[in-house]
Amino acid sequence: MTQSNHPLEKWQTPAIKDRNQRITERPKALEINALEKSFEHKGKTNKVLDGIDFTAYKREFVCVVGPSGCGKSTLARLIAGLETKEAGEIYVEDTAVVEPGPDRGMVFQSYSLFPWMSVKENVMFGLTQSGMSKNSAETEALQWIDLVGLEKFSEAYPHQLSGGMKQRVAIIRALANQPKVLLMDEPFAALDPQNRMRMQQYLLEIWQNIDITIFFITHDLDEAIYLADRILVLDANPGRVHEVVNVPLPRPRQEDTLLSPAFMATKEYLESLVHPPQPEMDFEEKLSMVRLVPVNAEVPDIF
Amino acid sequence: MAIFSKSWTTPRVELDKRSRIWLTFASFAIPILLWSIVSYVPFIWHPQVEITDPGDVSYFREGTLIDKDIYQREVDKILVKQAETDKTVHLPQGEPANPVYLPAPHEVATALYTAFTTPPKRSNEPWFHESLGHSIQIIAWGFFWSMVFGLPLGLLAGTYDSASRLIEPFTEFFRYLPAPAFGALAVAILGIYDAPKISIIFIGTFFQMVLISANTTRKLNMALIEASLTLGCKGMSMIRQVIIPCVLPDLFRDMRILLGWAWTYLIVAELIGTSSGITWFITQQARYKNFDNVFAAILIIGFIGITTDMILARIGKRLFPWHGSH
Ligand SMILES: Nc1ncnc2c1ncn2[C@@H]1O[C@H](COP(=O)(O)OP(=O)(O)OP(=O)(O)O)[C@@H](O)[C@H]1O
Ligand SMILES: [Mg+2]
Repeated sequence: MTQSNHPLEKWQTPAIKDRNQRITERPKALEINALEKSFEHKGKTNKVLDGIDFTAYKREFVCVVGPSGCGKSTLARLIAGLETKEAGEIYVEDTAVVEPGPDRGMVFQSYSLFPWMSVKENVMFGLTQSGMSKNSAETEALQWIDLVGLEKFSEAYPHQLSGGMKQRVAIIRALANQPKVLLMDEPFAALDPQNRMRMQQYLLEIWQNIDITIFFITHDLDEAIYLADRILVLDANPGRVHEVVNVPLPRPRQEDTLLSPAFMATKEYLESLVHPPQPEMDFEEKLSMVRLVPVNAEVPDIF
Repeated sequence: MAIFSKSWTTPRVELDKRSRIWLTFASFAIPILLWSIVSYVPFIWHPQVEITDPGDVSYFREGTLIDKDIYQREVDKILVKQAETDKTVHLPQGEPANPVYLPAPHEVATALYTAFTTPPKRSNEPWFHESLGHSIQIIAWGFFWSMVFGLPLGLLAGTYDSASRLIEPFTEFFRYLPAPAFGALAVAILGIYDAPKISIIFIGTFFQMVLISANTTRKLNMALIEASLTLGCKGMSMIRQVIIPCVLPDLFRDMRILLGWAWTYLIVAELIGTSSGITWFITQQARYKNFDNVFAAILIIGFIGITTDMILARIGKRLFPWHGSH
């Protein structure tokens, strides 16, 4: 696909192009080369990731989208070191990834807060692991808690928090460790739309103010476009890089960004990549199999 | 007033408070009611006759229990004699009674109290509360040593696959060996006093404890381990700071269940070497045919069991307020 007739080309204003150009001139934060991963299941190997190449630059916000089961979570877990790779290399700021470490923070969809620790202790956890003294860890944790507006809950336990609050804690717990890369696997998927919107704004706000590269997995295209500098689109079976889309939207993003024509165009384009149009006839056919009761069967009198 | 609530027949739906109280009450009331019926309604069961007046039967004594058919045979004999000789005869009198091994509820209820107040037959024998105390001590020590060795092994086996391969196969095998079978061996090695008894409790609970705590540890939410890994925590520090606190509430529950098992091994353990504790009391009282005391002692074991469990459950709720609500 040549750049000139790319469907999003006309939305790439010079300012946006310039910004993207400058991003690629930054040092590499995350480099993935020819990454392969398969899972064994009942003797059959299932190739999940097949030759992934991707580079994210410092302070970049990358979103990953793709059909369900294409290996997005697996990719994030490989970067985190939670899965062993089959072939290829992963570098985080030029250090090869061999095992999990505090330089790659991870936020899971299921929050994964430690239920026996208060909010403060949860945030302090990573800090004390790296050898920081209890006192300075506490001071720092409280600053983070302040930042996301949870001062009142610093002594509360996770089960006393709402989903959005838990996710905020999970995010600052990861951030407090000052990782180079923050991996987020559908972190807001369990939140209601309003909360999700707020969390996205929170995240952008924090990201703009600290030195971190975010690798954000989502299946919500709106979310991906709203947040990302670039969107990594994966193919399924086997997982391959389909395209890396430059988001043609200026920063900072506002709420009305979601209504701009550039946004719409990007969304339409991504839709066509992730959910290629399928013949609709099958569905009607399948539905008629399900519809055992005729639609206009008479309703018995007693009702 | 509806005693039966609709929710009783809905699968796995939590009952309302009133129904819960009702059913808990009924769960005790029903067996007690059955026991009372058998004990107090004269024409139900009552296979024996308690003699109130021996009459002309030479070997009847007042207060002895005689099987109904023997009693009837003696009465028939006397009636036959009367018909033959035309002499006045004195018929024996009696009331239907249950065998001595089934005391009535009120007798057992009294024994619950009198068991504590009755002095031992000989001065060197322990009082009931001393026997009880001794039993509790045996259990406590046996269980303590099980926990000291069993929990760390279980935690290791549950955390590392390598430890699991090394520890579990043998444990799995050993747990099928019945603990009481080691009685003779334990006495030969450890003497006749408390040590072999403690070792039987230990053998009875230790192997289960390793396997159960390993399983509990294995079931621990992997996401928490992964979260701690990405926060830079590993090795012993992870066991101490993540795995143990995470599984502690479940382990606590396992310990409550295992403690119940320990009580079932107690009776065998106390028969080993010199009989002691509550088992000694029970066998002694059975020998004297004080079955009300026997029942009382058995019930008291039940009371102790259920009270400890309830107290531990309370403590658990206090210690692990986050548990079951995340
Ligand atoms: N531990 C595992 N063992 C075997 N197969 C696995 C394992 N983890 C993932 N897979 C397989 O790998 C493929 C990709 O899984 P993955 O969870 O990475 O997908 P995903 O893109 O995150 O999907 P979703 O959008 O639904 O979260 C799936 O087909 C899945 O069945
Ligand atoms: Mg996933």
